[in-house]
Amino acid sequence: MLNYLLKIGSLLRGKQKNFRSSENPPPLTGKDILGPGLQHNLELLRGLLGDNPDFIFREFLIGNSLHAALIFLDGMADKTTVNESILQPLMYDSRLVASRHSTANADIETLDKTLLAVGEVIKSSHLSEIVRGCLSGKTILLIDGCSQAVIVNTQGWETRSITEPMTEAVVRGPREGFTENLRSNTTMLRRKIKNPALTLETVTLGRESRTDLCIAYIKGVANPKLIREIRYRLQRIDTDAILESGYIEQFIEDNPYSPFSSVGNSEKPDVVAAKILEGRAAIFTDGSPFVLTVPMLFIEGFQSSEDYYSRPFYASIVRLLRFLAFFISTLSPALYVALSTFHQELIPTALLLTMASAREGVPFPAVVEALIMGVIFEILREAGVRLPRPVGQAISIVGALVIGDAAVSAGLIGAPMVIVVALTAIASFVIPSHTDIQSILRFLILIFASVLGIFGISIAILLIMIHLCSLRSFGAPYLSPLSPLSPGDLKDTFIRAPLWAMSLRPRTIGWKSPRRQKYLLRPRTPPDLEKERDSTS
Amino acid sequence: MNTLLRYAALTAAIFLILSASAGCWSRRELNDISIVAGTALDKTNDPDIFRITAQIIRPANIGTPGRGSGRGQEKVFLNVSETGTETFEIIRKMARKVSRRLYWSHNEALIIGEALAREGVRKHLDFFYRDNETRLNVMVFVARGEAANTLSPSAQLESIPAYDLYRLSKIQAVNSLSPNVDLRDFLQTLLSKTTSAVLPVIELIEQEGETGLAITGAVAFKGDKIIGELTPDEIRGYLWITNKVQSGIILIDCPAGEGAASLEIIRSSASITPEIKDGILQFTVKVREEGLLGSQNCPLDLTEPETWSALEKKQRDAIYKEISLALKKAQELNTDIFGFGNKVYRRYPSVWKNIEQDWDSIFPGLEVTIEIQSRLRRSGEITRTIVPE
Repeated sequence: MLNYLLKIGSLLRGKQKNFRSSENPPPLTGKDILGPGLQHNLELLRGLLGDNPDFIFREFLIGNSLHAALIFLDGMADKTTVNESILQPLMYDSRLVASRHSTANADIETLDKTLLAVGEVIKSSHLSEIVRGCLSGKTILLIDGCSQAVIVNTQGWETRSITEPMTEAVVRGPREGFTENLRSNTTMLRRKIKNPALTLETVTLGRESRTDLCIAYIKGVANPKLIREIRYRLQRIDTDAILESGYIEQFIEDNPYSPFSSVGNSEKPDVVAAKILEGRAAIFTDGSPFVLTVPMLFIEGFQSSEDYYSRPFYASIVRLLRFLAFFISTLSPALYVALSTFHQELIPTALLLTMASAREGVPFPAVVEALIMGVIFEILREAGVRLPRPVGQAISIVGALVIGDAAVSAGLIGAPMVIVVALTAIASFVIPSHTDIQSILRFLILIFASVLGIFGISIAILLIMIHLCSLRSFGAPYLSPLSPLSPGDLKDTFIRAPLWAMSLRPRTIGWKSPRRQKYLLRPRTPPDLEKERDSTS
Repeated sequence: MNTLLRYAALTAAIFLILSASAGCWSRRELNDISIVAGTALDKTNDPDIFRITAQIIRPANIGTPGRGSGRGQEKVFLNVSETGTETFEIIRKMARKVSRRLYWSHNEALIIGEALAREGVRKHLDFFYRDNETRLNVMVFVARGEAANTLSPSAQLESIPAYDLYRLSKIQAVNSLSPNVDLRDFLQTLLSKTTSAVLPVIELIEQEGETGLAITGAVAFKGDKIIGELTPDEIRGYLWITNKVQSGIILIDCPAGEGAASLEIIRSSASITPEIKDGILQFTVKVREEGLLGSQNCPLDLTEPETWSALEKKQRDAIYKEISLALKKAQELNTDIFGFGNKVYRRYPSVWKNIEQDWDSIFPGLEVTIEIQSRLRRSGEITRTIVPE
């Protein structure tokens, strides 16, 4: 048993030998550079890139005599750009240049400055850089007699267009959502924050995937220590591939053994912009519409972007409602079991009679009933998410009929339990970012409640609170502003104060530059107008 | 990591051991308990043995709407009787007849048979105060005749007689013609050496061929025994003095002409003040009352202030009469149902020490001054009367 545990431990620790496939070519170093001969260089690159059908090697003549070659990755390089802005000028327009310069010994500088009609061009002789460029959709121009290659940015591939995200639906607010394209994602952010202080730092991760990541923050607002920490945590990642931002999340999070997530994510540019403006940093991952934001506080799950777009009164009620829903969804099965099996004296008599009559003939103890219903609900939910949409409907009908009605009339499950579980289910969808944790907590508290009743619930809640208090996310206490208490930030916790009343950034996050706006921004009539009105009335 | 795993394993082990060894402490499923709704205590022919009847709810017969079973056809309760010498013994013995454990937290009525109450109830009630399931807000009644019989009338609104009785008792506040006593109040009088209780009396009545249950009056206790019965006027007087009148109707004759008027009590408060003057213990009972003219059948001109003062005088006289009747009766029976002794103890503790032993001889001769401030506030929706002048 212990050995088994230790084995799991060592596996989790990642102690197994790092082995690299011996078939892979040795990694390129900065020392591998191009030579002057075109054919030599082409051979070199062919060797490195392999004979894959999607690598295009195009040899041609610049002007009439200068041998050159283009190398690009079919599908990732934009063909129109390659054809019209590189090939055409080099092959035809070069003759116009040739009238003034001799093409035969035209140097790479002249070509670059006169003929390449593309915005982003770099020159390099490092093979590693050339190969990486080619793999990310850039076009490599090699010229005979030149030991430098021109790397032309011709990136352009098929992407999904910007649509309304499936998660985080809002009634009022921007409808655009991030896509899988890193550049268009950062562009959406730039459009929200038109300030050069918005800094984007690129990191490339993944030995095989070479995924581009982008750390976004506002210089002067974000805490430099936070950025340093993010950089450090990201650079530590040495894995083969980053396929989704979830990979990053698991490698950088503070509390890998906690069920509580300490890295936030969002699909909406306005949400990410708001978080960055509070002093957080965002991590964009190429290939994923989900952008990570750190630090993440527990309270963030209860805040929706719409809270800030609608007026404060209703927003505050909704905020409170979310807390209520959180408690309903985590506590109600446990409370039901505790009350109906331990503390019947707490139930009003009339209700107790109804509950007792509903439980008459039910074969299972209340806790087993609750567990069965809870598990069935989780299964239904999972099935609903995974199944293709047309089949999903069938599932919901079967689910509603079987667990909603048939189970009760067959006498397997008491009707109150169905109500409790249904309530729990609906309530858990009110706070989408904490849905996973709610399921875990629900079962945990339920088990405690089934053993010790309300004492058990209290113990479970205490344990959870202790755990929550011990968590941190990138230096910020997870439970702030509640613990440690920062009274000023309570304006945006259980209620949402008017925007003009929230002049400071959250203390635990934006303390580097706390002031968000001027004080005294409450709407008011201009003094001169007011005087005028007073005199007329 | 290693330590973390060890901790996790340890925690899991502790949790498993704890939950397995402790069992599920006091866990009982709803269908493992039988809810007791009401209890009746009765005397038997054997002086050492008494009988307890428990009204138990049969949840299977409580129809849940939509399932279409039960309701009306079958009884939703079951009365179980058992005899013995001690309360808890009898209650445990009921397991011979009831397949589920009795559950006492929702017991709402405790009915004591008249015969038993005349002999003294103190020794039978210990369980109801001591046990952790029983509550102190159980309503206490004295039944005319056998208490067990009052648990199965047929004409009632609630499907469970004990709960019907509980609600019946609560609604009596609209008349203030019977006291509302729960176990806590009763316990206080049982613990006191001088103060005694007044308990409401219930009896079965015939109406339209069905047996119904009615609260018909009240009995005064001396200690834990019935000592006498109170008339409605005396009951109201008792309630006035003890500040328990909530609402009610004061019936008066018309100040002028034939007919009567009903005055509704809307607010009342009372205080009892003991005072020692020249070495003599005296009591002042102050009652403040506000009423309104509820209905009348006399030709009154309510626009005249004189009519109002005449009505107010009648009201005051009626209250005075009720209070003095109650005082007279209590002194005749020599039972301190008002808690006068307790008031002396609070105000003159040192004096009380000396007179406590002799309270039985002092109480009947006590001088009590009655002060009444009563007002008539409104006359309802109309000022004129529909009775011709």
